[in-house]
Amino acid sequence: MPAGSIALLFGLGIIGPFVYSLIWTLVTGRGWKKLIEREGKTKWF
Amino acid sequence: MLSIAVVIIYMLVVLGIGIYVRRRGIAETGEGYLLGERRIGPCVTAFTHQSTSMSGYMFLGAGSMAYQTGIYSLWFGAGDVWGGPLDLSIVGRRLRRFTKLTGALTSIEFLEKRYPMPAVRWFGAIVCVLCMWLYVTAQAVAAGKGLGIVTGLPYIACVVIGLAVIVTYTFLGGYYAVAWTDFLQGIVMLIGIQAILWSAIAAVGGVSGLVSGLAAKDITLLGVWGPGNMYKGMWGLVIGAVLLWSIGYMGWPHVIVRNMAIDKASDLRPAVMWSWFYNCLFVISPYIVAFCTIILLPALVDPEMAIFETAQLLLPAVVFGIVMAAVMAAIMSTADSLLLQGASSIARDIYQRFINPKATEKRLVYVTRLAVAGMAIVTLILAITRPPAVFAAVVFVSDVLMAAFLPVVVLGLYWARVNKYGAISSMVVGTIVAMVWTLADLAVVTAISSGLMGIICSAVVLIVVSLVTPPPSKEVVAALELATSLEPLPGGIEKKSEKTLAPEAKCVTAFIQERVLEGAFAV
Repeated sequence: MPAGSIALLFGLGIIGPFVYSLIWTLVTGRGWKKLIEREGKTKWF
Repeated sequence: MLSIAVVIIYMLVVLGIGIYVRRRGIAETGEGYLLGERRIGPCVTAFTHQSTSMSGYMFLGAGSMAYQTGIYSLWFGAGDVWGGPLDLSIVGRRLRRFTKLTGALTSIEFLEKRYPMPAVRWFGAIVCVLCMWLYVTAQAVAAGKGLGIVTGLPYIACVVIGLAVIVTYTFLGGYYAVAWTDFLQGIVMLIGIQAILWSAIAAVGGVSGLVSGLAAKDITLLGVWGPGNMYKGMWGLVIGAVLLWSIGYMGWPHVIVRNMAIDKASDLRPAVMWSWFYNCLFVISPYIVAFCTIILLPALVDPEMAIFETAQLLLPAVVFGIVMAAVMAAIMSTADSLLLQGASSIARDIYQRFINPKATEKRLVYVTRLAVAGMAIVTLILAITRPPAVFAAVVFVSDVLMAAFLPVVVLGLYWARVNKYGAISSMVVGTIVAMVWTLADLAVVTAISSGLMGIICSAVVLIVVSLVTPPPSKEVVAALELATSLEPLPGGIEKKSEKTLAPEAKCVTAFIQERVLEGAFAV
């Protein structure tokens, strides 16, 4: 399989969404402190 | 017989969930029936979000496309992994808060509360109901085919059985039952696809066997431009494919309603991670299975059967039963959401909004249940005629919904300047462009997909018309500012029932003004 195809599609389809989700959940979410305090501890399930 | 038993057990369990929810009395109010009382947790929200988006298409259409076009098809899969995380993060919190603040119970109702104009409501509701009906018909056809393979029963009998199970638990338990059955179905889908994925990879001699087998068949199947490089340089089609299954989620009414039903806006953070986790394990797998099918079963008559045939070829009866339960789960988890969305629009957006504004909560739930049953009957009639390929219908409807609703939903939540005149123009233009582009087959001529073209036209019209017409009222802007902020919602709004919040007969601006007088928008 051409290495370029793997890199392009794996990066676009797996790594990209992972990095985006992680940053959004852990970094952006820090700004939500006041909201979380009022709404109660975040549930993971 | 073992595989039939597995599928029967699975169907009994989902029926049991519907009965349980009905007995708990969660689905007896408008907010309870349509949104599960807005108390769905992040994991269930993420799973229902994903299993709703991933329909029978994943086992039929995706398999068919991968079987015919090879690696090129992964453009669609790659886009799909983005869909859930993008929707939950971009739309989720703002939509959840705005709809709670304004008492909106359906995604179309949100549009009218954001763009106070009756035409927005009725046009949106009509497009939504028609698209949901076509989409659910595609799912019914898929259910008939899938169940027929397991049981050997005639196609019509299988469609009837599949629809009967879906209607029963949706009718009884509303959104709460749909969300929890979707959660269960999501898990079954994961188990089923992983079982067949690893069996198929082992059967072709591992990843290296898969690559060499595909190369021996046609080296261009391994490239990103399709067999014979037939799509080479067609970036419009590729971008359209990625967009359709990524940002497209934000325009699908039956998907964005999941954001409205989550327990707390802050729960959307873990929901995004759950969504990514689920997608990584599930989305790409059907494509890889179909790549293996190219080597294992090179002369398939019906490419839509690629995954079914591979499962039948490789797996023992019990595991094949799990795979077939997964297929049925994919179909049913989408069909139930479509039925409920269509019925919600009929009951809340058409009946209660325009026909009987004084309808009580009990009446609303009753009409919604009737609409669920009515839509199922009409779907059954169309499904029996075996309309064209499932994949084509799903893509067509997805394109139309995306073009009609995506710009008005996203820009409506992020830019206060867009107004009702822009919204109605955008929805009409987006719908027409996406339909004409598909029906006239302009994607082939222009190399730009109908969804992409529809979004571009729809967004441009929304922006231009909004800028040349008066801005939205200050009440709408105030509501939007509060919904988009990170401040907690004031005045115990989270705890209030919708029956005190959403007098449908009133003009929406008047309703919001009333809330201003109550001090609800004073942060």
